[in-house]
Amino acid sequence: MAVDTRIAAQLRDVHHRFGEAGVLQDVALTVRSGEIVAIVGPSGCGKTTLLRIVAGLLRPSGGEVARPDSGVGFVFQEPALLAWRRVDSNARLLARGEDAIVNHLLTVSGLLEHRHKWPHELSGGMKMRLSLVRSLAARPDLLLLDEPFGALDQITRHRLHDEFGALHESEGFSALLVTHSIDEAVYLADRVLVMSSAPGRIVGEFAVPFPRPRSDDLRYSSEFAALVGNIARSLYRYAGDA
Amino acid sequence: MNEIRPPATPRNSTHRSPRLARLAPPLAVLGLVIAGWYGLAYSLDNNFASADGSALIIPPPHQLFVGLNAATVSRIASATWVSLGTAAVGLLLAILVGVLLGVAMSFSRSLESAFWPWLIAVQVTPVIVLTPIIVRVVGASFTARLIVTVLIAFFPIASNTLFGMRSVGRALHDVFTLAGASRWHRLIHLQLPAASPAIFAGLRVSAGLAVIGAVVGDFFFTRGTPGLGRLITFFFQDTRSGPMFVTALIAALIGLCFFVAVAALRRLLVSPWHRP
Amino acid sequence: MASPLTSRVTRVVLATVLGGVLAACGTDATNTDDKNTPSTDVSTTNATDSAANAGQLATVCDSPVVVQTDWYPQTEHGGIYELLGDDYVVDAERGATTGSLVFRGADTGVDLEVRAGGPFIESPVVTEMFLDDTITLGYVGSDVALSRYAEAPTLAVFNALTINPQVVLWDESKHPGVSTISEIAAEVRAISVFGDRPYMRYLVAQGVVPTDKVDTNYKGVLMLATDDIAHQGFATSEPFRYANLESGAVATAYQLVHDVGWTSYPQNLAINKLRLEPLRPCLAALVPLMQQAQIDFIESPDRTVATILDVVERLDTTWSQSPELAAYAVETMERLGIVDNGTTPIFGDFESPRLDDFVARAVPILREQGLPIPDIVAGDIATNEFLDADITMP
Repeated sequence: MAVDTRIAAQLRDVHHRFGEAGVLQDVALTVRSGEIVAIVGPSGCGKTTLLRIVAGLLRPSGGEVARPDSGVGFVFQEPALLAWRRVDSNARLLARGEDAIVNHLLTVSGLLEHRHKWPHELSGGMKMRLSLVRSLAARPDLLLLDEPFGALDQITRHRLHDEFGALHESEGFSALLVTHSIDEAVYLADRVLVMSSAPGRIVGEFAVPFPRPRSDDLRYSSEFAALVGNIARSLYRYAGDA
Repeated sequence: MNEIRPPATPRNSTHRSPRLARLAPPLAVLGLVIAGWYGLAYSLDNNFASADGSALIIPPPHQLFVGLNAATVSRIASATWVSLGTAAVGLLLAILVGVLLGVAMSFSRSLESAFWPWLIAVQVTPVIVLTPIIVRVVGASFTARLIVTVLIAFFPIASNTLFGMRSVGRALHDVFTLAGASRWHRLIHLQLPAASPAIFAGLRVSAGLAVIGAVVGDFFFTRGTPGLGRLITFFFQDTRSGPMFVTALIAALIGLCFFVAVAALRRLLVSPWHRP
Repeated sequence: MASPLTSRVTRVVLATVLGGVLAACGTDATNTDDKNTPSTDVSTTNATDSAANAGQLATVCDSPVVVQTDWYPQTEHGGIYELLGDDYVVDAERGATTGSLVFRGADTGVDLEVRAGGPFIESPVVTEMFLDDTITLGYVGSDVALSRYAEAPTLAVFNALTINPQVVLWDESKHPGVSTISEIAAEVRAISVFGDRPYMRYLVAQGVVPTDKVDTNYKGVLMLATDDIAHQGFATSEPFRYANLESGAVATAYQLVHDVGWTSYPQNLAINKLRLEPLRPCLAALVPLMQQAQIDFIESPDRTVATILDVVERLDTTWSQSPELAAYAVETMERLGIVDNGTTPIFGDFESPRLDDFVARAVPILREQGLPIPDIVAGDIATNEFLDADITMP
């Protein structure tokens, strides 16, 4: 399927089954160039499966998937670093020769001074930053993120949210973010999609009107709280027995 | 009344020489072993009823080297060379065979299900008792020695390679899949490095087994230059207990060297990055 | 195959009968035993002296006299069992057979304990002789005496076997025309021997056997039928065992290791040399009896063979002997000169040029194995001091 240059990824009528169980049904979504789209949904609703289908790691049972020819970046729940490679070697794993970009990314993520360390010497936040840097070093048009901040403490998580926002501003990539945190989705995304479970369907879509760059103050605004509340109500309506 | 005391100064001994503190317990055990050895040597009836005062059954530690003339030393040296060579080459082959088998089984579930029960069968068989048959088929050659050593030593490496390869997380595999990595690239840059701590754990066991295979298997190698195992039986037949104990100590020393070599290699290749 | 064997057995019987007659002729008049009828033959007056010795044994020897043999009871040990009275008892646990020490029917007043070797002892005989003070005499070959001289010096006082029955034997039908160890070594895959034996070292050093043909795996199994090898054995035993295999007779040929130059005296009665002085009076009385008993046994083996077979049965091990095998052994010992006067008329003596030559030949071979052998001469490991020079094999 031809991809509109203004569209980073598009899914039409995607459904997927694992054996008898329907996991995804009639999923359609579009990620526009430069846009960050978040998907929220209850655990086990098929968010990760959807992300793997977008990445091309999983062939859907049916439907059409369009993704950038240049490939996609993927940031997993865990940092998925190569423990036997030092920080800079991990950062360069997927890079295509451009040293300057990797050094730039290491610098802005505060990893440059740690570049000779082993992954086990890094904090959880540093590991996740490195995972992000590794994905971005390949200069993907579309970055897929599967609950990348879920395992971090709140302070670190919020700090990474801002760093991610800054990277997005400077690098201009598109992103599809799967998360179970509505806060996170609203803070990071331009649009939030709500997914129901068993089978997973897109049951709601919320535009996030807050301008960028966003700052921590936004989290404590009533508009932010109201939007989070709306999404939560939509989510709970479809959450089923979960 | 409630005067505040300065904290007690830590005891100097532990501070001044932590190395000594660490070495003391094993040295104490060594002392006990040597004391027990002396006790045994001097409690056996007529152990020293010989003409020259040498021990007839068990030499006390200070008499270990009494019978070590040039000819005996040269016999022990050539036996050491045979056993060391067998153990070393055998271990290298066991690594090769073990890693290849582990990799092959990790690539294919059907290969794994075909091979695994038989590998277990080989593992639980005391292969040493098959030595005479192996000798009968291949001849009492270096090849036969190697076969015995490899059969005894390869399993821990094969199984640990398999488990190590299988332990690579899905996310890491996905990273390589997304990068369009070839199977070979994935093996070299992801699976083998990830499996290396497990492989080294297997290697540590296999190194000990290789020495056992080379030395104990040698009891059955009755032709050509004797290795340490057969030399021990020769010394035993001649009741030359000093050289016999020395030969046994050398066998232990080879085992120790292998252990230390594997540990050193592990410290070089794995320890810096691996946190279990 | 059958006919030469039959004729051989016939000869054994003849020899036995003949020997019995001769022995009967040589027996002293004072004997009361039925089978040793009095005689007036003058050719063996020495027997009178021996009998006189027998009388005083109780005054000079501690009882029991203990002889440690090197293996299960077998015909090669006949001379010692010859001295065992019919009142013997067998201790299967220790492998010891104890009875009155009887010479030609006359009870000497001391007991004789003959101990089986092999699995019944933890160490070689020579070591046992130093570990166990109760052993009077042990079987020690001249090569072993040399090997262990530094820490366990022994002194041989009598050789029971003049020539070593040790052979290398092979399947005659597979190797027709082969008559020497050197020739068979070139034809077979390996020569199987038990452990690192000095005689095999000697054969290798002499170029008789290539070193890669030596296999030290011999466990006493008759392997010629199933394997392309030659192996060690006793001329007095293995050829007969092969000829009577249940799975089919195998015709064997062999060469004595003695004939290739390893002229060790194989089965000497030796003492712990540290105990020479206290034992001296006993040996002077006892050794002539052992000399004569060995001759008596060869000449009239029946009673003692029966004793050996009985002891073997009572020891209740996997070891077996048969009257036929015993007859073959006795016949072979005579035919090959295994029990013989040698070059001097004195029976059981250590002959000077032979033992000197052997010491000169063996010491370098043994030293090569790392055995710490001091510079010694034949007289250090053997003496003729206690022999009765008049006792000779007729």
